[in-house]
Amino acid sequence: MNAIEVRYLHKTYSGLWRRSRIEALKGVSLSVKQGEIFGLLGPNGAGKTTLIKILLGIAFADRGQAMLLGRDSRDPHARQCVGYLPEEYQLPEYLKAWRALDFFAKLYGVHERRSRIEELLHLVGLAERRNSKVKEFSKGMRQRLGIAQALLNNPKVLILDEPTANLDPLGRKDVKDLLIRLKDQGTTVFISSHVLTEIERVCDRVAILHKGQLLTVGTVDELTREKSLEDVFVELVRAAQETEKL
Amino acid sequence: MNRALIFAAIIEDSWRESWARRASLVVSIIALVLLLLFAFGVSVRPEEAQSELIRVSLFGVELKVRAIFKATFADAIEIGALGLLNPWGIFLGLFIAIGLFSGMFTRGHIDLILSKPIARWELYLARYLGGIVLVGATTMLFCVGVWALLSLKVGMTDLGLIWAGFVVVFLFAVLYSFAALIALMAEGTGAALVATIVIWGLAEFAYVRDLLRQLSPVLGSVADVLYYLLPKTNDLEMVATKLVGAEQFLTDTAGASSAGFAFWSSGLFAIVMLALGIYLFSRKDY
Repeated sequence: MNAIEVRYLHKTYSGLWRRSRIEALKGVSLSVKQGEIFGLLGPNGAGKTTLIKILLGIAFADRGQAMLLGRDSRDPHARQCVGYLPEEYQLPEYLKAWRALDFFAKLYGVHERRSRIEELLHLVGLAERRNSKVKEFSKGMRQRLGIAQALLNNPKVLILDEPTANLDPLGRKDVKDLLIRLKDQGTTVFISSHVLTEIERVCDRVAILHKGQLLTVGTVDELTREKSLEDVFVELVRAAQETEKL
Repeated sequence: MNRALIFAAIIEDSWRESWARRASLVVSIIALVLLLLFAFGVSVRPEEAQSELIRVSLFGVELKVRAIFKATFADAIEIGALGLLNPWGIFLGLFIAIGLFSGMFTRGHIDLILSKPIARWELYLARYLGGIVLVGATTMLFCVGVWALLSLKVGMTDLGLIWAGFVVVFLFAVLYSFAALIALMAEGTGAALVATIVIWGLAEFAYVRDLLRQLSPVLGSVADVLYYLLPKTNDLEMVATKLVGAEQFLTDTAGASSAGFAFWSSGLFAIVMLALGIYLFSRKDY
């Protein structure tokens, strides 16, 4: 059983009265094996976030199927073993750090919440600030807390949308180390990022998405045999743009 | 998966958010000040000749009116409390609860919540219940406070005001079900509040349908449709007034339906609004 399985996924966003239509996904199919780190690359508007939202039941596909650990992604139970850190998110500002985690832990139905929260606060380096309100946190601290909430349920699949967006170099290094540690523990990581070097260093396999279409899927070794990932990415996206012009 | 824990967590979060926004604090302070004013500002003295009669003092100054019956005093206080709760308490409650409800749908926050293993209907219903618990608790504390003070001052033991408090909470819940639906569709507090007040106004307007029919048969028919479609706000207000034993304050009961009809038809309205809200929420992309 694959951790993530996506088959012929189509999604179109329609404006008011269906006047404007944006095809966000045009028949995307891919699969992510259990225990691997899978990178999703693509320029802005490629459909990366839409794909992730469909996987998590936040948005719904028009056609096709998305499965998480063998369950249909629309089934809430499919998310029981999944952690998620969105690109843009808002943690409850009025709560203290530990209480915010406690709230999300309850939604996951985590047993022994207190010890799990303490463990995660230590992991992300926020143990000293457990009693500070989220509104007092810097962007980087919020990102760390966001990562902690994504790990509350000890996920089998971790989905991260631009996880290092607000982090300084030290924070980025911590996230990279964390991802490798999670992989060693058998966690599947699905990561969407603009930072190609980051993807190249940590991912086993990579997919490149452009305007809702999958341009390529392969292992990092296969794709970077002759060129860097950045070169491969630029070449494929430019070729796709040229084809569109024709 | 413990469903009760999820519901409790979302309701608790609604509670904390409302306190953080200071809205609940302001309403609680208003309620407390009113209770303190009644506790220490109003005193009663039994008439020596007749124990059922009392004289009332405001901040130590005896009112220059003749002695009144304890029951009349109690009715006046209860109807005053009811007048504060409906419409002002309900209006404030809607203002706070709609803000909390639409706050859940803000981009970024909803993504985090929807990615958890909870069904959308549970989330919608739990947040709706959160608003009711919040407003219900404040309303009932105020009613119990007034009732307790009346018991101390004039020895009143009638529980009418407390039952009337439940009717007010029910009326709030009915209007809030509509407000929640609009808050979901419009993704904003202002539109939901305005639309709810319009619906509330139309429901009150429909109550005078007999009078409207005399003016124009078409207008009467429109009012009839509105009356049967919308919650029976006026009828529920009458039920509450009767519960505090203050029927003498009701000026016109000609168009009223039975209490049972008012409750079940208003409850049905709320159920339809909730079902519609859950249906739309379950299909909405974020």
